[in-house]
Amino acid sequence: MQVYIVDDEPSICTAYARLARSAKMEPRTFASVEEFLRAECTDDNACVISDVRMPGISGLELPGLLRRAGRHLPVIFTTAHDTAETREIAQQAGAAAYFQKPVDDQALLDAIAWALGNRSNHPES
Amino acid sequence: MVKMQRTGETLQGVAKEAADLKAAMDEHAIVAITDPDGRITFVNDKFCALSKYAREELLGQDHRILNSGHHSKSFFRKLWRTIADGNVWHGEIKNRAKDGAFYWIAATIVPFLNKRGRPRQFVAIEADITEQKQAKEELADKLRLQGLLAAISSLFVALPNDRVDSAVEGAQRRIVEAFHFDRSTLWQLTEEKPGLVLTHCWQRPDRPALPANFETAGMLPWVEAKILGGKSFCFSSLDELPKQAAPEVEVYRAQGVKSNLTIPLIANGEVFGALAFFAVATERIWRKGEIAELKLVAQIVGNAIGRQRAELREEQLRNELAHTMRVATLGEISTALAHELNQPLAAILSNAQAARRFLASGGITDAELGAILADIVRDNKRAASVIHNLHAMVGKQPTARESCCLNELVREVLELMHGEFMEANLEVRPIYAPALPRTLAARVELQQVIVNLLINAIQAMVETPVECRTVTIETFAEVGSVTVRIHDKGHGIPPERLATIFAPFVSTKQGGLGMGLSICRRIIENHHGRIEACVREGGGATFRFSLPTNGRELGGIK
Repeated sequence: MQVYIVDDEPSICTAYARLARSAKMEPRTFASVEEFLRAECTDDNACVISDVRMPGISGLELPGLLRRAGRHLPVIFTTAHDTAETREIAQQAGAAAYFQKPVDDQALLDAIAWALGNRSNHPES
Repeated sequence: MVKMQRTGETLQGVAKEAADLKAAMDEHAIVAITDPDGRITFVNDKFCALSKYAREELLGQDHRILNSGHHSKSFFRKLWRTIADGNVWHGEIKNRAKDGAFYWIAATIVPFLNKRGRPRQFVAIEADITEQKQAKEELADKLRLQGLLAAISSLFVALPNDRVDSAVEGAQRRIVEAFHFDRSTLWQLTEEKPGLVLTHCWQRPDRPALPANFETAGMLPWVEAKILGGKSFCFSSLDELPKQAAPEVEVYRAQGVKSNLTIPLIANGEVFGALAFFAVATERIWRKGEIAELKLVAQIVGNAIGRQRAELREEQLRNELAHTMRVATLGEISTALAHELNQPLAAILSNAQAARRFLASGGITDAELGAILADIVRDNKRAASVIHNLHAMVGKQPTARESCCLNELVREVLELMHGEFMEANLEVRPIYAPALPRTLAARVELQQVIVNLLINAIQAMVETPVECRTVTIETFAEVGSVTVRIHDKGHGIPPERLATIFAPFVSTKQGGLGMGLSICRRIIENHHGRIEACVREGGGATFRFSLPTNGRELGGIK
């Protein structure tokens, strides 16, 4: 199971990666949306945990960009800057889940499992 | 026979002449005759009239009946020695009449000797000089008082606030000594407590001390009502106080107070306290002129204290306003702060929970666990420093001056506002001067200024195209000063607003209170520095503030 972590905060990337590994997942970390898009990442049995506010392209644009590129990756947002507005935009953008930082491990792992399960249950036509 | 007759006529004539002389003398002078033992054997009508004693009350008495207590024992010893030796004595004597009033006489005392050359009797011829004496005393009193008032006034000229208290006590001491009082107290209304609170007291060292922290509330209702009504009052003895003042009589009796004069202190038409003078040792009559002089003293002292109170109040208001501003600024950057705190907290939580999971499954090396713990410690410290900065900025603690490096201050503010810049999608370019001299400053206040100027810059660039949104913040040193300069590329400042931009309630922002820059200016000027704004060529605004590195005042804007 592959988890892509996109966050400009290195300490968050490291911590999420450890959490993923502790749950027997394989993490990869990226400091920006651009860096993630440039990388050749497989979409199979994988999901993205993304920050919202980052230098450059906002995390909120990621689901749309992936969709337009024909890729099928669920995106889970975690943000340190939680507002009703951000939450709504994230939902409209097609986020698989949305959490305020700090996020509890079980909640995040459940969301990953749910997103991946959802994806396999409902493959894109 | 003829001779005898002649002698008889002569004797008759002499007796007649003596009687005439005596009558004339009685008309003109005060006359008393005393025997060698000092007993009064004769007084004329004028003597009786002046001393207010009946003749029969005086005859047979000695002159001590008139003793006023003014002269020393040696004065009278000398007088007696002079006349007992057969010499004439001239001098001035202060006597006390039967009714207690004092009078002065200029006396000539002539001893008449018997055949053996011993005094047979003493004839005193006196003139009433009370009026001249009083006029002289009053003039001396007046001169003394004027000197005193001048001295007290000069005590308070251009007096810094922190020295008002000692000047007040100095004035109280001078008054108590000059007027022969025993104690002077000064009372003030305070915000903390009801009633008047004793703030300044001077009394003669040997007098009973007042109870510490004595307050009028509940103790002296009549006195308090008088003072707050703006009325001065005096009493020579406790018997003069009205029935309503029964609580006062009790308190005064316990404190040994016999006479009192109390004058309200007034500033801006409002009573804020009172100045009181007390006689403890003896009862005391309050002369009208004296009261007028003391009212003048109360005015001088009242002005000084009133000014001090007004300045303290103003300072307090300024501090409160600055605090409000800091809290308001905090509101503006609170989202950024939430971000700054939530980031490390999120990393700490995920690290700790990952470690717990690893431990549960047994799949972790000591090195990996050590790395996780090290990260947790680092992020925890980061969060703590955010809280620390925040507390320093919003706290109401007194702003102590310390040696500060502007580079450090700017760096700290930029860290604190990191999220804010990201939110606004703008780039901050700091340019730090190397080896910048330090300046003595209240750290938090300067950070407040930098935060305010940066927030202004951010808000000025809301309409600026994203690719142009940059703020340059630069530090540099000049001779005797260090400067922080902030350039933005926002809407700039209309030239006509430049002159007033630091005045309170001037805002170029919609909905802005216009207090930010005025507070900035106050802070910088309190640091003997200067702050200025100018319009940049090619748009945007520049704000800069400079602080002295040697503590001396910087001149006006160049």
